[in-house]
Amino acid sequence: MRMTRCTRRAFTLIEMLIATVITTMIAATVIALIGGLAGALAIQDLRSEAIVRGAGLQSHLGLLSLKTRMTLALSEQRVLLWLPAETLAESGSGSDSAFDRIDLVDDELHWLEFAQEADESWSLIEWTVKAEAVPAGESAVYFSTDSEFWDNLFVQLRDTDQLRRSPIAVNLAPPLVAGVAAAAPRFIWQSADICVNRSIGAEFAFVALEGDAELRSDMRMESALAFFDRHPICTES
Amino acid sequence: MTLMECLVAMVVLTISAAIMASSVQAGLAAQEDALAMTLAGTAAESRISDYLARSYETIAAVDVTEAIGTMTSLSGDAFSGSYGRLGRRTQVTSANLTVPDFPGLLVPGYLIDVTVFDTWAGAQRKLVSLQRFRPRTIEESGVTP
Repeated sequence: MRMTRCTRRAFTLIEMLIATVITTMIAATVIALIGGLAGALAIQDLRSEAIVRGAGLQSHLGLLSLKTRMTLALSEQRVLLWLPAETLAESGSGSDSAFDRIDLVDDELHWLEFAQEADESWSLIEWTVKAEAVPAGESAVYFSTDSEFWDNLFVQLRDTDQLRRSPIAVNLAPPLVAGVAAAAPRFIWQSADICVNRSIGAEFAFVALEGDAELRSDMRMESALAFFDRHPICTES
Repeated sequence: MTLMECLVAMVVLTISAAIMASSVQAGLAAQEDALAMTLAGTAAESRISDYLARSYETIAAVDVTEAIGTMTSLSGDAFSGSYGRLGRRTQVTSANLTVPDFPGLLVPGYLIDVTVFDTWAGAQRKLVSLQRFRPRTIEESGVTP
């Protein structure tokens, strides 16, 4: 029986070292690439979110400001928009009767509110009256220029479950204003006098965390009330 | 595997990684542009709203350019951080609007033209341009219809 002799030799130490170095370099490159990709994807996510949600919010705000004739109460975290059920032709006639009464069941009041959630993020909420929850004969509200009156009405309706809560945007953060983070997202307006104010807007930020770094995109959007119509009570007072 | 095969594999991997990284980079750049245009749209709309919300007699013809990073609202509020790379030009000109269905009818007002720009490769780049007409209403003209 003939014995065959194996002619293959083992790797030398030098070859092993070179292979180890090359493998380490490749592994380091792949890890760095994956890390970079993860960071890039986080940035892409934030930007996509800012683009899509920003455009959506601008559109919603534009639609509301198109229908709004007056802002009834203005504060940094809550504003009240009045969208009269009367047609422009009726209210444009200057008739007091067209304006005196606000009907809760006619979807005439829309509150926009920046509310802080349990996880400390902020949401933009639209509150509207649930027509079916308003007791019969209690739907009439008479016009007032007193913002406290409207705040009390809001609290009363919310606490008696007569308001519908519709989140428009969630996971918002306070914007950077002059390089400093504001305490909260906020509404902005042209004039604090509701009888004069003709615009409404909001300032907030989209924020994402990438490791320890914070990625943010600040937004400021404003929209003019296209059909501003001063309530006769403004002229009387 | 020989050393030569290892080196070839490394080169192939490096080229693949470079291609992947550059495609992600290109995607990021495109998205940054899209976000800049979204922000530019809100900045332009904001200035248009400023003018539409003003009473007619306080509007005057102007041609004002806010340099990059210096945009403010009419009330003087600074725009937040993300707008720092944008600038804005506002041109307000007196103009008359004609209505095709009503020959001879001229509606006086102001044409508001807002352009928001940034810099790209050392040159100014226009991101968004919005135009709106602010008519003088019958109430503002003091004429009883």
